[in-house]
Amino acid sequence: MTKRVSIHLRQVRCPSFEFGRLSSSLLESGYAVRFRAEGTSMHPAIRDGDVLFVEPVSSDDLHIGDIVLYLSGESRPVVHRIIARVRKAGNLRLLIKGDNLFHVDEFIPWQRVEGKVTLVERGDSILQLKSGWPEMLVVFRSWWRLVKGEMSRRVLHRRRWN
Amino acid sequence: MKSVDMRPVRESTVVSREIAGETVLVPICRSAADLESIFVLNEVASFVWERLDGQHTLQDIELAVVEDYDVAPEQARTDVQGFVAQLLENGLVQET
Repeated sequence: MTKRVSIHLRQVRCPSFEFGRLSSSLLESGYAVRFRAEGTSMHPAIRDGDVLFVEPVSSDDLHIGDIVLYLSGESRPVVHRIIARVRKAGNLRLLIKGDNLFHVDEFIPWQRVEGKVTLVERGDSILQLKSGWPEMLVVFRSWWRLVKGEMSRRVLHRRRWN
Repeated sequence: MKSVDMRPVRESTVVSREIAGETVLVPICRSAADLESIFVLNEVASFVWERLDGQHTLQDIELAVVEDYDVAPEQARTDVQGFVAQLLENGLVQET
């Protein structure tokens, strides 16, 4: 059986609906991946348009304060920060949150982490991300934002019922 | 016009993956797979890509395309050569 021929090579930016599958496949094979961030949920650590380098990671390399790429429930790629680690019956679970958000994403098993952000390219400068006390300050601020968000919600709730 | 004896070979700095039935080529740039600039191949392009192993000549590939697809030999030659020229231009294959 013969088919009509046409040979196409298209150069594109990885479409978001394929991003998860492609990045997973590459990171699982040991390749780092490089892509442009979208959104403001990690502002100011990561800004809209920054280029991120994400490297494969093992559970021992995941620390509070690290920024990771994981796939959310709908296989949507998310780049947010670890704000807590819990080890239960030998299984490591991570609490993830965007720095600029008033709510946490979710607790995820560490296996859902695709990789860790190690470099941020912003214009001509390259920022190297390391685990350390500056990240802990960001985590502290993130928890404080969470508490503030919860307090505001409670005040609104009380006003609605009074 | 490329020589029909040329044996193009895929660059080792390009990773290919099958995603949703299409072949995707991802260049490795500064030790990372660059998702900002990927290449998507259609079915016939994938067929040609698989044969770019440094063993098959352009003529071998053109004959394989004519055998498997409904295309005149002249058209296959033009299309395969054009495709390989594009791959060379984008640094995805090298001549051997």
